[in-house]
Amino acid sequence: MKKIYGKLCVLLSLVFMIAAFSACNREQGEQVRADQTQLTIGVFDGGLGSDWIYAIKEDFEAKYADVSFEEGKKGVQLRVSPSRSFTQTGMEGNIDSFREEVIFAEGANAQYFASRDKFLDITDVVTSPLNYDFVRKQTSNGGESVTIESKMSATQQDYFSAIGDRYYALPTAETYYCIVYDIELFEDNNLFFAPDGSFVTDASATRSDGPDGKAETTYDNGLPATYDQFFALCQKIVDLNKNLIPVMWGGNVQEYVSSFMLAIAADYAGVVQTELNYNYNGTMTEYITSFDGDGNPVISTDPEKYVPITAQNGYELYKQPGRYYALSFIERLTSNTAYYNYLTATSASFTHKDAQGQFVMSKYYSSMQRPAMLIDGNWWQSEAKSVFNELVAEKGDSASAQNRKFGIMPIPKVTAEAGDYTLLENTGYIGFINGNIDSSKIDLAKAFMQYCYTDKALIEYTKTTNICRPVSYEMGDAYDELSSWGKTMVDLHQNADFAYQDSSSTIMQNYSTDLWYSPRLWYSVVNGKTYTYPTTAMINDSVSAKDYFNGLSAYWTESVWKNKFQNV
Amino acid sequence: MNSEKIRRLLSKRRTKDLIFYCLLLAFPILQFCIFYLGVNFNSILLAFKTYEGNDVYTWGGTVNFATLFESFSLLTVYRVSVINSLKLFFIGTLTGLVCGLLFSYYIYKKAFMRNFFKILLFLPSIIPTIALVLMFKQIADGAIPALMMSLGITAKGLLANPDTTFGTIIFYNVWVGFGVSVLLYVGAMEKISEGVVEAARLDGTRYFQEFVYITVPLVWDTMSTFIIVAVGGIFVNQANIYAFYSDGAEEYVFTIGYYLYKETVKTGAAADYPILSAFGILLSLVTIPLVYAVKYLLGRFGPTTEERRRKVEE
Repeated sequence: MKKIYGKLCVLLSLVFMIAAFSACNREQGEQVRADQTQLTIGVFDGGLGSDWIYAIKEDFEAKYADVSFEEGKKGVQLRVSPSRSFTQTGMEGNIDSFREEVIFAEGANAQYFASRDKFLDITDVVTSPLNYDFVRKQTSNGGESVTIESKMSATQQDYFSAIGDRYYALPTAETYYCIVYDIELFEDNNLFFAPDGSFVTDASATRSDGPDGKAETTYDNGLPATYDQFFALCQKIVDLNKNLIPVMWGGNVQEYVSSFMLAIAADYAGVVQTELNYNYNGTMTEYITSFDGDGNPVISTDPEKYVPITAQNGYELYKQPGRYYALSFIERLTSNTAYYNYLTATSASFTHKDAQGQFVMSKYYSSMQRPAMLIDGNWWQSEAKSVFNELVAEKGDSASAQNRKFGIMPIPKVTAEAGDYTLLENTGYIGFINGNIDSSKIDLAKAFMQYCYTDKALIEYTKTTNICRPVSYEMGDAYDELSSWGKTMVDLHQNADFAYQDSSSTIMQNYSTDLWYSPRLWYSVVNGKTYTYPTTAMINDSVSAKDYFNGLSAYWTESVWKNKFQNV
Repeated sequence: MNSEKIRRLLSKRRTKDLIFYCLLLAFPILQFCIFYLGVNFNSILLAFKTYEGNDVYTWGGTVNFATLFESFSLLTVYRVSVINSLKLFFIGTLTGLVCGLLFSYYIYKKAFMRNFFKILLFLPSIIPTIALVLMFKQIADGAIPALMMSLGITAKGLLANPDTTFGTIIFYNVWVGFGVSVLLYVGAMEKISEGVVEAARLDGTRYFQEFVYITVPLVWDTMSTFIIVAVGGIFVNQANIYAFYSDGAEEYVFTIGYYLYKETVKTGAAADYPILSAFGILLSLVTIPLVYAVKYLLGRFGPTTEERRRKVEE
């Protein structure tokens, strides 16, 4: 018996050793072309994936096929290196050892690394016309004569050039939290609103103008314009009695809902008032002073009582009405267990990918409860790629992401007063050239960085990821090739206002996580207990929106704020 | 060979031995200097500094301690974390100790399916924490509610239900700690002289009596070590909460260890290092005397192996 055990142990050890050595020996991605110069592109291995690089790779390589960058070699090979290390934490202290020359990171603070000389100065890339060739050192007659800088918003320009008026990084992805809805389900069940506020009676009937009150922006037509309409919609979905869930989210990612609540607050407050929460430089024009006898908020809009906001009194921002309305939205949603996935909404084993899977697959499997709406990030469709692929293999091409119809549900307004959309763009999606790049590859890396921001590459990016880069560009005819989700992304890219979390304020630079990471933005003390997530407080302890809102200021007192944020 | 030659040879050998010992010790000593003395020295200094931005710290005196003491009364997180850490220590240590000893005794007595239990209990110790936590989450919040549902009972998962969340986390920690404790206890029990046990048997001792009067006293040193280590870790034990919730746990499950860990590893934590270092020093001031007190009490009131052995032999 002992001999058998011994043999088994030796065998297992050999298997592990072979597996380990084969892993060490394996080249990542495609084979190295020894006769070409390699440019390694690091991409955060997350929801957005790296397909977009493969989509532009061939074109970029062809552009320099006849150029020699190293002796004895001709042409360039882009090598994609996906990794989850391309984040702030993953790069702090390690970036010097990274072999990737160009990196597209997530959750990283551009100014942190730039001020420590970890990124290459790319001012020339950002300010030169896009038809200037960094490799050949010449400007071509054709191509785009505009600069990348001209495609950026003023806020982006300020932020990305804050260190000595030089650019070290570029914004790479326009991401935000939102509600995704299943258009097919809405059409099949007449869940759109008619202009008179009732539900349409057939899919082709005229729909209401949506929350923005504009008939010409068709992407939101028929969608609930107010909170009341939204919850009437939830009730109708429940009343259909077809094993549907109005809203779903991943139970182990409560921060998704918290982030979505920040998006609700931003849509209410608008760009300037929202960005106060990140730049701490301006005037708060609207805030809740108390609640009346009916529990409604009393809002001060008196110009004489405006509150100047600095890093010293940021706690005042926790009185902004948008926060309360976000809380009241979630309170109404969680007040009826039929409106959301009650049993899994706080489950640690139910991930956002599980929620995506159920959202996408339940159309084909009647045993699954089918969600009508999903709270997620706008990159969800890229993240759910494997689910779509499985479905295509089983159900055919009609089940693909390209052919399924999903749309974004713009946040309904508090009242019937129509208005434009303000989206809260997530921070930390940046592209840069690694400061430790070999000097022989600098021009090539700059050329690639620049290429990523040409209209052609931007369009490919949107076609592949179904989201936009946060710079201005037109999709042209390629718009028609997009999935219905991709189309709404482009529609909002062009029509919505964007509030940015990026800020070069000292407080934001020193305490960024405490000021943008949503779980840290909803601390509230109610009955002596501190909550992190409004959802769990409301679901588990039935905390009201009003109490939770008052609890925000009970947590963020002047003393707590000053103890936490020092030397700002 | 004359004596001079022998002396020279011995001296040469001694020099070689000395070089060997020096080389052998150089690496661990260097490691100790850098990763213990260096790191801790720096962290002690940090407690007296304030952050100015861009990795620059300036001397701040005792301001961090003053801020910390003020925060104790302003924020609930410290109170909740201390209570949870103590709960984890008392319940976890007590349960771990009692169950660990009983299971070890079962294995030591070569009872039915002992090897199976040995492997079963040790398995969590060799599976990577993240994989194990993932499996545990699936059972606690996936399988158990599904099982209840099949019995017609609608219930939330053990982790999702706030009434059972922390208890479930304690259970998890006790469970994953079993492997190591059982291994050590069994090792200690196997060192008990067969003669002592046989003599007790001849005197008519039953299993329970043997366990209480012979086994436990004779593995007391091992038990003491476990208790002392647990006391030393009261405020650093993050109870795998980070593996369960990353940095997004609700405050009611915080332990001091988790709080310190999540605040230290968060993105851009440089500005918080001084206050966290000050907190660390305060905790050390509590823990160090506590460890020595427990060590003294265990030695003073617990039966030493020699005494016990002598008594049993008498």
